Amino acid sequence: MSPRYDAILIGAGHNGLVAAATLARKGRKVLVLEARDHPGGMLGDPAFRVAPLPYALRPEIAKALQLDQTMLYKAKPLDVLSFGADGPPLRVAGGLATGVDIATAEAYAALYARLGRQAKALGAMLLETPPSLGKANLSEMAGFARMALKMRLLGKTEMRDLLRIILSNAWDLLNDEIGDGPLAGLLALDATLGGAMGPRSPGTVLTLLYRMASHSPHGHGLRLMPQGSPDALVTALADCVKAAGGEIRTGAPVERILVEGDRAAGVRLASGEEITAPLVLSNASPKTTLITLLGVAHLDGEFVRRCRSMASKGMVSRLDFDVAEPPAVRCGGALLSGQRLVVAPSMQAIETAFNAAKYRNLPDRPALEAVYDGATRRLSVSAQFTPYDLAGGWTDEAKAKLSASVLAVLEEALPGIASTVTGSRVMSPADIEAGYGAAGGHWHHGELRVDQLLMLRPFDGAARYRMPVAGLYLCGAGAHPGGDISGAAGFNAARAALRDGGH
Amino acid sequence: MQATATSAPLVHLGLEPGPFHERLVAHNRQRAWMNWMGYASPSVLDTVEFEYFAIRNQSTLFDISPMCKYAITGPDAESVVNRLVTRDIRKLKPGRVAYCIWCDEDGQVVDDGTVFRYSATEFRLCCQEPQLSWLEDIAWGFDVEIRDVTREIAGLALQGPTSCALLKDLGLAGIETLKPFGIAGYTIAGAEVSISRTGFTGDLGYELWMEPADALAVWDALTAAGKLRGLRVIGYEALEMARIEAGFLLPKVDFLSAQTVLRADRASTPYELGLDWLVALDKPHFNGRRALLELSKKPPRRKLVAIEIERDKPAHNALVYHRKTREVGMVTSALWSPTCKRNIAYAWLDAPYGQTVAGDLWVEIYLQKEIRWQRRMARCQPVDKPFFVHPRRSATPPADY
Amino acid sequence: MKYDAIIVGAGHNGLTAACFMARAGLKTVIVEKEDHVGGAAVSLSLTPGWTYSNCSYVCSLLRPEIIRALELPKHGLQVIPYEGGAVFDSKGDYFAYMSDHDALRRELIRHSPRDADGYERYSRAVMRQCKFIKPLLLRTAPDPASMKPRDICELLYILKRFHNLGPREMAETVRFWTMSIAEYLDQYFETPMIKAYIAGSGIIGTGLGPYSPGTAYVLLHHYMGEVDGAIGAWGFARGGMGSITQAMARSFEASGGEIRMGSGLDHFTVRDGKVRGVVLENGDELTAETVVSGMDVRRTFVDHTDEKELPADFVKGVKRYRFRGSSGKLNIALDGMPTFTGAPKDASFLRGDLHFLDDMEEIERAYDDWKDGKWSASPYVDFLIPTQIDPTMAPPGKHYATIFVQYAPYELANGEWNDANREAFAETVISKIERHSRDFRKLIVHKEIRSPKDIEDQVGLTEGNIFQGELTFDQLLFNRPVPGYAQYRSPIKGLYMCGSSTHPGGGVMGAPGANAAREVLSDLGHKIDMGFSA
Repeated sequence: MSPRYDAILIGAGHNGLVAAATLARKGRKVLVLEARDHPGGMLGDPAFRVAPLPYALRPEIAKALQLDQTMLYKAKPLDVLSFGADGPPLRVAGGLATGVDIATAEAYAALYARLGRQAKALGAMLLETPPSLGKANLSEMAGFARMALKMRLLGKTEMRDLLRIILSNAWDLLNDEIGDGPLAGLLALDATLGGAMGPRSPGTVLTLLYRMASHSPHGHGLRLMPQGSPDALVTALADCVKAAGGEIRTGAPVERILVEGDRAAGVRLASGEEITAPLVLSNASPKTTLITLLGVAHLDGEFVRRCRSMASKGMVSRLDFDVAEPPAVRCGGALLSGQRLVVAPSMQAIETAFNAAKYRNLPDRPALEAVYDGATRRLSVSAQFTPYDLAGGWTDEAKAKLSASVLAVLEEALPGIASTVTGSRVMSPADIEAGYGAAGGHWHHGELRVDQLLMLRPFDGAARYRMPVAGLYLCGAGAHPGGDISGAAGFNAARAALRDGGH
Repeated sequence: MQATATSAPLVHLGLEPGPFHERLVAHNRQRAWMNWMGYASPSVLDTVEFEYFAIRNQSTLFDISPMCKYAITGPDAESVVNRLVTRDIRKLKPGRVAYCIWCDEDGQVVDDGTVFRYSATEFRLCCQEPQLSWLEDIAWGFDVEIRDVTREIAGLALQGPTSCALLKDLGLAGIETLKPFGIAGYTIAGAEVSISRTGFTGDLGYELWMEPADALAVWDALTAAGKLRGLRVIGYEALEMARIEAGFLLPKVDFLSAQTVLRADRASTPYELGLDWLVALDKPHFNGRRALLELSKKPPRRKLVAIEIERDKPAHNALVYHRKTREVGMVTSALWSPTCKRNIAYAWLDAPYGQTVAGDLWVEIYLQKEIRWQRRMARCQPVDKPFFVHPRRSATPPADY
Repeated sequence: MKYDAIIVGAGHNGLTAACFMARAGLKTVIVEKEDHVGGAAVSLSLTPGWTYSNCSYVCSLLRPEIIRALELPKHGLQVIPYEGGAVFDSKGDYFAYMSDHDALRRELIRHSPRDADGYERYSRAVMRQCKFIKPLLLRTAPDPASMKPRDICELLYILKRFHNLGPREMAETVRFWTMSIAEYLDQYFETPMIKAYIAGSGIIGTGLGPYSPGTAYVLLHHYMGEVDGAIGAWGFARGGMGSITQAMARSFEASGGEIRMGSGLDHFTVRDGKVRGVVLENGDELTAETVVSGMDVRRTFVDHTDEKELPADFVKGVKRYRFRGSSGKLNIALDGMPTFTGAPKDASFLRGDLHFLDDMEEIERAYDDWKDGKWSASPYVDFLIPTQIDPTMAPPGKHYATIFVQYAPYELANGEWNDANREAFAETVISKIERHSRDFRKLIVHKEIRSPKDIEDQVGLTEGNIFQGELTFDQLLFNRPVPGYAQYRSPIKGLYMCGSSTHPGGGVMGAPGANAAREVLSDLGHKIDMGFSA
C-alpha cells in the first residue's frame, strides 16, 4: 500500500508549520499532527500563551512563504519600559534610549549598532545547515565561508572585537560600554531570558548576539507584535500550509514514531491509529523526539548519553494576571496595550536572581518581562530564573509563592496593580514540558551555548536535522539555529529533507 | 561543626590476593607475580615450557578470577545484550556461551568477551576491561539490572587433553556430554560449580565458576584428582603461548579498545581484526550498526593477520616490510610454536598488504647473540588462523586423554 | 649605560626571556624592583628556620623544553613530584587521589564503581585535550584578522591540528573549551566529593565559579603541565618555588647577563614611536633599542608609559583588560605535623594537595560570596605541607604549610584590607581547617597572610590575580592581552611584553617569556635557536 502522505510533521509549533508549508509548497503531501486542540505551539494558546511576545520571523522565510508582510512587519516595534530601582522607567526602542544621561544614550546607540552589525555577520549561518564536523565538503562549508567573509567585512577592529567578546559575558561587555543599571539590565535580560545563565556567565554575549540577529526593517533583536496578536501569525502560517494542500490535525497526539528497516515509516497516534509516510519531521524537543517518540532501541548508547546530558533546564515561568483596570506606571501614565515592560533594574539584580536558581530555589525577586493586552485586560509576565527542577517540586505552594513574589516586584513598577488583580494563572517550566513536548520546559528546547550550537546543536551526532534513523528529521528549536520565533529551524530542516529527496 | 566520623580505611597499595591466592602462593616456586586488574596473578610458577606442554599434553589450572564479570538480568536482558554485541544473541540458547565483540557508535571495537546465557532473562558477560559505565549506557531506558559480580565469582580454567577425564574422576556425571560452549551445573567437594566448556587455549578444556568461599575446597579436590591426570598449575606466560597458537586476540596487545585510545586512529573495526563473522548486520539495531554497515562496504584500511615466518627466531616487536624496503606493518604477538613447530605471529598490515598483496613480505627481526645485536630479514606469509587445531577440542564426548 | 636589551622584572617570564636573549649573544640586563629575583616564584624566610614559597607553591607547568634549554637542573633546580592528594568532607570521609593506578581505582570503587570507570574515561579525555594544546603553548598565537602569510599559515596549522582530531574529538574539544567544569564532570562522575576534588583545578586563580561556562578550560590550564613526562602531575621545587627563578638567574648570569636589583622602573623612554630605554626610580637611565616588560599589560602601559605614545584603541583595550584577583594565600610555620580527622595514620595522600569540601556547590557558593565583595565564608583551600617531602624548608620535625585560599576579593564591599580584616580572613581559613585537623591551630608558630591587595602591593600582580589577568576566552590566545597585540609586540617599536598577561597565560610556565624572546630575536634578525623546536 502506498502511503497517503509524503511527510508527517509532529507538532504544529511555528517551526513545524514553517517546515510543513515549505514542504507543501514544493508539492509534498503533508500532514501536521498537533497534540493540543489548536496550532501554534508555544505561540498558540490564546487563553494562556507560553510566548506572548513573538520575535521577528526571519524575513527571508516570510518572503519564501509569501506571508503577509504588512501584518508581520509594518507593525511598530515594541516600546520598552525598563524599570530601575526607583524613578520613572527608561523608554527604549531599538537603539534609542530615553531617560538616561546623554553619554549613556550615545554609548548605548553605538553599542546597539555595533552588536547589530556583528550579529548580522554571524546571522549568515542562521539559514544554513551547519557543515558536518571533520568531513564537510565544499558546499557545506559555503555558509561558513560566507560568515567568515562577512566577519572580515566588518573591518579589522570590529572583527577583532567580535572574536574577543563572542564567548564572553554580558556583564563585562555592558559594564565596559554602558555601565550597570536598568539599561544594562534590559540587555542582560535579553541575553539570559529563557536560558540557565546569569549575566556573569561566559557565553551570554553570544545569546545576546543571537537575539540581535533577528532583524526586521525596524532594527535588530526586536520582539514584534504582529497586527492582530500572535494568533494572526499562527493563522497566517496555518493558512499557508493549507493553501499548499497540507492538512493540519489538532487533538492528535503522536505516541510513537514507526520504524521499518531502519527508516522512519510513519507515526502511531495515542488513539492507536497508524499513519504512514516516508518522511517524519519532529517539532518536539530532541529529547522528546528521540527518547520518548522514537525510542532508544534505535539509537547507539553514546548518542543516547549525549541526548540525555544535553543542557535543557527551563528557567522561565509564565504568569498571567487579569486586572480590573489598566495598570499605572510608576511616576506617570497608564501602561499602554502592547508595551513591553522589563523589570531587571540592574545586571546585579539578574545575577542575584540567578544565584538562587543555581541551587534550585526560587529567587526572591525574579527578573521580569511583561506585556499588557488592553483588549483582554491581561498582563502576561515571563519570570526568569524559576528552575525546572525546583527543590521540593512545583507544588501549588511553590506556584503561589512565585505568584506573590512576582506581584510584589510588579507592584513597585506598577503601583497599585496588586489590588486590581481579579485572577491569575501560573505555568511553570514543568508545565511547559508537559504541555508542549519541550523536555525540561526549555523555551529553546536546549540551552543556546557554544557547546550546543551549529554542528553541536542539539548535540554531536544529531546536528544537521537528519537523525540516525533515515527519514526522521528534527525541525524544532532544538535544531540549529535554535529558539525564539524565527522559523529558521523548521525552514532549514524542510530544505534538508527536500535536498535528501530519496523517497 | 567538627568533622567526626571514624576514619575510613586506607585502600591498600600493591597487588590484591584473589580467592585462590593461598594455593597459588604454595605452588609459585618462582615467586613471579604479575598485575592482572590489580590482582596478584602468577606469570610463571615453575618453568614456562613445562607449563605450556602440560596444556597440550595433560591438564592445567589457571586462576581466571580477575576477569571482569557482569550479571545482566531482567525482562529486557536479551534486548540489551543483543544491543550491546554484534552477534545475534537471540540465537544463543540458555545453557550456551558465545564469544562476542562490542563496538562504539563509530563501529570501533570496545572489547571482546564471552556471553553466558543462563535463561531467557539471565546473562553474564566476562571480559578483560571494566565495562560498567559502558553497559549502563547501553542499557539506559531498558528494564534490566546490571551488576558487577567480579568479586562474587571465582573462576578457574581447567584446560588440556586430560581435563574431561579428571572431571569424570571427580564423579561429574555426564560431563563428557557437555559440548563446546555449553554450560552445566555440578557439585565438587560439596560446592556448587558451574562449568562451561570454554577456554583460551584452543584445546579441550573447561572453565569452572564458583563462589569465592568454595574456591579453596574446589581447588583441593581438583588438584587431588589431578594427581593421576598430570594436572599442573600454570601461569600467564604459558597460557599466552597457547592463546597465540589458538588464534585468540588479546586486548592491549593485538588491539586497543576504542575506549582507551588517545589517538582516534588507533582503534580498530571488526573488519580490520578479521572478525567479520561476529557481525550480524541483519539483526535489529545494535550499537555501531550503522557505522559497521558503511565499513562493511569497503575494504579495511589495514588488517590484523596471522603470519608464518621462515626459520625459527620469534619476531617480537618486529616491523613488516614489502620487498624488504617499504614499511607496511608491525607484529603484535609472536611465538615459536612448540606444538606446531612453526614460527608464528599476528601482524597489522596496511592495505592492500595482507589483503590483496600477500607476496614478498618480510619481517625485520633483531637477534642478540652474546651481547651483539644482528638484524635479520625473514620472509613471511599470511596464513589462516588458528595455528593449532586439534579434533579433541570439539569432540563430544572427548577421549579420556 | 647602553645595552642591547633591557628586561623589566626578574619574574620567571622575564628571566626566561632574558636567558634566551643572552644566549643569543645580546648584552642583556634585567632591572628588578625588589632585592631578590623571582616575582611570584620566590622562596623567602620570614621566620628563622623556615622558608616559604610565598606566592606560587607547586610546579608542573614550567615547560620541559625551557628547563632543558636553559640547563636549569645544572643551575640547581630539582623538581620532585608529590604523591597524591585528598578531599575531606564534613561527614568525616575523604576521597584520596593516589598516583598508583590500582590503589586509586580501589579508592574510587570505595566511593562508586561507576566513578572508577568514569575516571578512566575522564582521564583519557583530558589527556587528549592536553595533547592537542601542548604544541600551541610555545607558539605565537595567530591574529585571525590579519592577512599576513605568517598569521594565515599559523591559523591553518591550528585548524589542521584541530581537523586531525577527527569529528568526535573536534566536538569534544569545542565542548571542553567552553563548558563549565561542573557540567563537564557530571558527564563522568556521580560522587560529589570526587567532583569537588577535581573541580578545584577549574577555578584556581579565576573569578569564575565551577558552574560558569569556560571553567573546563581552566582545568586544562592546570593539567597541561607535566613532571618528567607524567602529564598532569605536579611537584615541588626543592627549596621552594624560588629555586626555579634562582636557577634561571644563575643560567642568565652564566650566559653573561646582568641583573640589577633594587631598581624599580620609573618609566619607559619613548621617542618617535620607538623605545629608547628605561628610567629607573633612582633616576638612572639605561638605554637599549629593545625593552621587554615582564610586568602585566596594565602596569607596562598605563603606569609606566606615556599615554600619548599609544593609540587610543590600544589604551582602551589595556584599561579594559581584566584582572579581578580572586585568591589569597596563607603561609604557616608549624611546630609539628598536624593530624587530620578521618585520615588513616601515615596516609601517603597527606603529602599531596588537601581540600575540605563536600561538593561543587560549596565552591559555587564560595564564589557567590566573592561576587558580593566578601571573602568566602567557606572558602576553597588548596593546602599542602611540602616539608613532608622537602627537608630544606623547615627545621627537622617542624613543618611548613602553604594554603591557597579562594575566593577573596581585591576590594572588600565593606571596608578595606587592613590588619583586622586580614586576621579575620585568616581566621575563616584556619577555623575551616581546624574542623578537619584539631591540632592545626595550636601548632601554628608564624603565619603570613596575603590578601589579593597584599599580593598586588608586595608582588606586583595587579589586583592580586595570580595569572596576570583572567583566563577567560576574551583574554586567551589571540585575545591576550589585547586583540591585535597578542604577539608580544606593542604599538611602540622595540617595546615587548613577556609576562603572563600574554599568550598562553599564567602559572609558572615560562612559555610567554620564551615566546616573547623568540619574537624579539626574530625582529632583530637573529637566526633563532631556542634549543627546542616549536
